Amino acid sequence: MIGFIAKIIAALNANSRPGEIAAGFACGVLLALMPAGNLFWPVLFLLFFLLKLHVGTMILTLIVFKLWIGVADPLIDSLGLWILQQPALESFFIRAANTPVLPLLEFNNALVTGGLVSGLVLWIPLFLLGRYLVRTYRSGVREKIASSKLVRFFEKTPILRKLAIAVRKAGDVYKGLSA
Amino acid sequence: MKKSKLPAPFGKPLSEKKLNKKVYRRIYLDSERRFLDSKLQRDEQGRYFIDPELSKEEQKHLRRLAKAIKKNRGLLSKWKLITLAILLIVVVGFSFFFKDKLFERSVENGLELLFEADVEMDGAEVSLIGGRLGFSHLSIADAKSPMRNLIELGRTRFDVDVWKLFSRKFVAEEIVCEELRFNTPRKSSGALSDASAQGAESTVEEIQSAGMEIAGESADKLIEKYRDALESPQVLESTQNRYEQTIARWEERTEEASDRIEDLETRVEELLRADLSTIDTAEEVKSYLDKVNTLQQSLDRTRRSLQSSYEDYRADTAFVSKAQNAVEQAIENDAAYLREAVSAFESDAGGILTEAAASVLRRRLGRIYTCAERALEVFHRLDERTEAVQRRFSDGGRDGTVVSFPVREYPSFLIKRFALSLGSAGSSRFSEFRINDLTGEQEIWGKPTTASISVPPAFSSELTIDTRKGADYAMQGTGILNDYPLEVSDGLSSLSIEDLRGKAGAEIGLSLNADFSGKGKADIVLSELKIDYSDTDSVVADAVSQVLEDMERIDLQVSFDISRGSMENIRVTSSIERELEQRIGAYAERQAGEAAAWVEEALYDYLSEELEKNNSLNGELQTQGKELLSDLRTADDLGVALNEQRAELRDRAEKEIEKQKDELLDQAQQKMKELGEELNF
Repeated sequence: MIGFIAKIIAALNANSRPGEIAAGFACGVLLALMPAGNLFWPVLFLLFFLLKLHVGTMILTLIVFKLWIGVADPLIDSLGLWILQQPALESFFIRAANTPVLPLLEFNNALVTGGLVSGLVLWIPLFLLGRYLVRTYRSGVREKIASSKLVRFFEKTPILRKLAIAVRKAGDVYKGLSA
Repeated sequence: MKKSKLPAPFGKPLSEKKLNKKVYRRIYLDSERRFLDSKLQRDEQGRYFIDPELSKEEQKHLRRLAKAIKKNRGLLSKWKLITLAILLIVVVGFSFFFKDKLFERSVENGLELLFEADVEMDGAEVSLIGGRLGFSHLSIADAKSPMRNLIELGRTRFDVDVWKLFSRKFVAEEIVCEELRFNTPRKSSGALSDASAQGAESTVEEIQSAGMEIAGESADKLIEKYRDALESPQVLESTQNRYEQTIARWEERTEEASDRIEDLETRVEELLRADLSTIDTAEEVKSYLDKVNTLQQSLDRTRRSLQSSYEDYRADTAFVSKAQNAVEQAIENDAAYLREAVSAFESDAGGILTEAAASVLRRRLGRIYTCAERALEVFHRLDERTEAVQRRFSDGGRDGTVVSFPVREYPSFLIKRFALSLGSAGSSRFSEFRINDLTGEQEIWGKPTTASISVPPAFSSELTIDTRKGADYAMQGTGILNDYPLEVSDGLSSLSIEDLRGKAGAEIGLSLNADFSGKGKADIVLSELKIDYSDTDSVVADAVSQVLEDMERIDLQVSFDISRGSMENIRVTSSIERELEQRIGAYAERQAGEAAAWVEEALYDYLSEELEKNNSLNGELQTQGKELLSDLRTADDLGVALNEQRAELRDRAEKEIEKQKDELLDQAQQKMKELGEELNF
């Protein structure tokens, strides 16, 4: 966990594309919205893994959101159910249910379909939001945080020192927090 | 300052456009932009470059920046893509180039080991994703007769729906085994070369000896394990010990008693041999009596002793029945134990077998087996960890609403098409056996099971088994028999036929319900008939031979009912009936015509005189008739003459009466006139 946090902080302070971290964030939310135990999940995970996005951000977002996503389940389920019951899509779903492999995606589970659709719909806003936040952080907040008393206090605690070392390793060349 | 080689993309001067596109667009930190700005210079052509004279720190910074710029290129990770591509290439390459060959070699080597003869396979085809396994030709030579094949097989294919296996359903699209033949000739010898034969033999022996060793050890251990837990062997052993002791003890006593009895017997015999007539004195009498008394006493004692021994024996052997009961009870207990242990036997046997195999394999393989054991251990641990991780991250609590869409259901077991064709070495014809839609769940599959057998050119049959609800029949079948050699020598004696030979063809239809009741019909054609008659002189034989010899074929229509699997109400109609009817009718007509002509002739011969007499009489009679006719005509003429006379007479009479009447009327009128005058009217 600390490793993931360190990687995220390092990425935030490194010369990495803000879109990579934002995409990792959006994909993490998408994976969190979908229940595991179906073929969709590993396929999406593999696809995201191949794309140039920040995997650490994706996994941390996934873990954090998974802990709380149950709250949104009724909403996701209702959305999925609404989609699955659309008469216009019925023939498509029937054909998919009778096609080899596709039933393994468990798309007939309202939570899977709802999670996928809501994740896809939310993906672009979350990506844009993530990119905006990274840029904002890099343009102004980073300097302020680096020089704040809180960070200096954290640096003295053993666990967070480890974190700071990890961050430094990745970011010292760019004159990040430790600069 | 030291001149250094600059990293890409800073090695060459860049135009402003290229600098923005390839460098600045990929720098996301202001501090880095500032660093780069501070190092960039413009040449005469307006291109940007970096002076290679940099400090060590600056060189390091620039290298890292170049690396970050490179890293920020593109949307896909190159190394991940390369890894994936290599994996795909390996899988696809294996799939396209090696798997078929590998399968071919494996099967050939395996079968060569098994049959100890040359095995050739062509056109192997393996598809793991498609679930296909097959080959176009396979021949296994006969080790004892190398110029012949033990088995030869044509196109063989096993095609299973792999995706259905994931749903624990076995759906075979096709299982085909064509042109299976035995004992076919070979062009080259099928004997294995000495080295490979020896290798195969030694490998087989090695496998067999290892197997025997493992089996022997595991069997011993298994028996030992169960024997230790059994009660009856111990009870039996203690009982046997007691038996042995008792037998030893009584052996001595019974021997002693026998000796004593034998002695007494001898003595009594001696005493009885004495001649009583020679005893003259009282003393001799007394002596003899004494001897008798003594012997009597000895006998009594021995008897008492034996009685007592017998009572002792009975007391001593009273344990036998108890011991017997104890043994029976122990056996019952053990049997109950073994019954309970049966369920655990499989796992025990497996465990013990594994244990025995492990020790044997460890001895034989040494370090290789130890390494394999460790690898397995690591694998198990990884498996357990994966399971634990899966449990931890499973979304068991997130059960969404499941919407069911109509899905084409498949039975648990289904073979859509099975085909087997079987031939013989000397023939190019193959018998075919096919089954379609073989399943135990026809309701789900929606189709009945159909089967067909074809044994050209003689026989073919089709069968439909329908166990679905509402089906007209549970089983329906048709069979066609062509040119089947027929020979009947019994049951035709009434037709004076000794032997009937020919060819039979039949088309048989059968419908059966689930309770084995139903109906059937058969159209049978008998042709090329050759008949031997037992009694050629008889009228029947003559008639039948005349009828049958001209017939080219006989059509029979048989219909029957089936009740509880047996045929009832068999009805037969045939063309032979009509033919026989027509032929016998014609025959009879011909015979009757001939008979009528003969009888007519005989009759005419027999009646010719009478007929002549009859003719003369007839002439006479006709003459008389003519005479009579003449008389009659004469009589008629006379009658006419008389009638004329009579008419003439009546005319005269009428005239006279008229005349008389007139005269009387006149007289009456006169008288009346006179009377009137008298009366003065």
